[in-house]
Amino acid sequence: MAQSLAWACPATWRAHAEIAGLRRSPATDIAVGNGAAFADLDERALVDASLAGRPGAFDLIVERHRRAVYHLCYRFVGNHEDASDLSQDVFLRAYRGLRSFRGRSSLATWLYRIGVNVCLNRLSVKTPPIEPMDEQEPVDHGAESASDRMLRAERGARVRLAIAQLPRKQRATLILRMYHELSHQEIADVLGSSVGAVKANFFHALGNLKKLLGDEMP
Amino acid sequence: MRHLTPQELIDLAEGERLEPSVPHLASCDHCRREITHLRAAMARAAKAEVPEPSPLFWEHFSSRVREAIALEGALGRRLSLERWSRFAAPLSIGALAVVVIAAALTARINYRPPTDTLLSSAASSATGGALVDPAILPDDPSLDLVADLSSEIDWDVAGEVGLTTREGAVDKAVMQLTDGERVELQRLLEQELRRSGD
Repeated sequence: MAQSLAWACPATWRAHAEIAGLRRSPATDIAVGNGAAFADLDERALVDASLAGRPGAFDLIVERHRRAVYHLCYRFVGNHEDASDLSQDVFLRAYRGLRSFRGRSSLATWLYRIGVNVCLNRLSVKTPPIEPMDEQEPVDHGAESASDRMLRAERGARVRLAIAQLPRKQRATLILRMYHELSHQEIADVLGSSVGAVKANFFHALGNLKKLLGDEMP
Repeated sequence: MRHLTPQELIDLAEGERLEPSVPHLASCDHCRREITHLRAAMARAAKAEVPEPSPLFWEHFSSRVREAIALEGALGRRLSLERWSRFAAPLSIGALAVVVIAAALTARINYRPPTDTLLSSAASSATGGALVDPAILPDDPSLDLVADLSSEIDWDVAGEVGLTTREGAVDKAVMQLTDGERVELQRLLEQELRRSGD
């Protein structure tokens, strides 16, 4: 397994200090410096740089995709704690299996495939608790009034709760199609099924969502 | 009347196919309603955003990933060291046993028994080479060592370090026996079969 200086150092203390703005560690400087150097690299070259153990290359992969992976996991499990743990697991598995990335799909799609597997495995072991409304940070939409923001957050929470009740394949299909804009073919690749099955799952997912949301639907 | 399939309805709801290109829709309220419902469900789902975590979370997250990978690397190195040390003892015993066996075989090949100790039994009457009576072999401390070591080696461990026979090895050994040795082997096998048949 390729190792680099940046990845070989325990980093909790360093992260806390950096978050607090107290200091920057040399290892992070290396990572950041190389991150800037890698900024122009395409995905394949970035993966190759990670495999070659070049400091900062995998940092940049994490940085580019962490938000999308976290959102994917959150939509599956519905709470921050589990989504955070699962996202970390996704990148850990991605690092372990980086050699198996052939570049036939985009890096994002490859990470989604890992993410869907990780999330479905977790769901088969336990049903994660859906985060209560008052623990959720509403998404800021600028000039929106506080009451509108609350209303939107509440509606969003109801939809997420309804999605969480969908059968697993329907849920995965709906999440990947609606929120990550994967094509039917890409979803079929991620889930190991056919395009026809993906469309059928999407159809049933939307139908079930309508039933679960009941009166809220127009 | 055949209604549109889920795949066709999804294509129409998503705009991959245009409605005028499907004549069935002009005469089917059911399918038109299905498309309207699908679009409404998509619009409703699209508004469900993920609550944004604190900005500090992302930096902390990258550090956690980096730390987990470093920890796994360290753990992997330790495990491989432990695995190596687990096999080190049996391997050294095996290597020692191989050396001793090789020494014993060399000694046996070089051994020239006195003519009066050759057996005059079936073996010597056969056309092949002479057999040596084990009872009259001189005491060989290396053979005792081999016996001691082999009695303590577990069969699985012996297999792991390659001390067990390979497929076909026994047949090959029998082919290399002299005629006299084969006659003696036959006698021993028959004796063993008679005993097991009792």
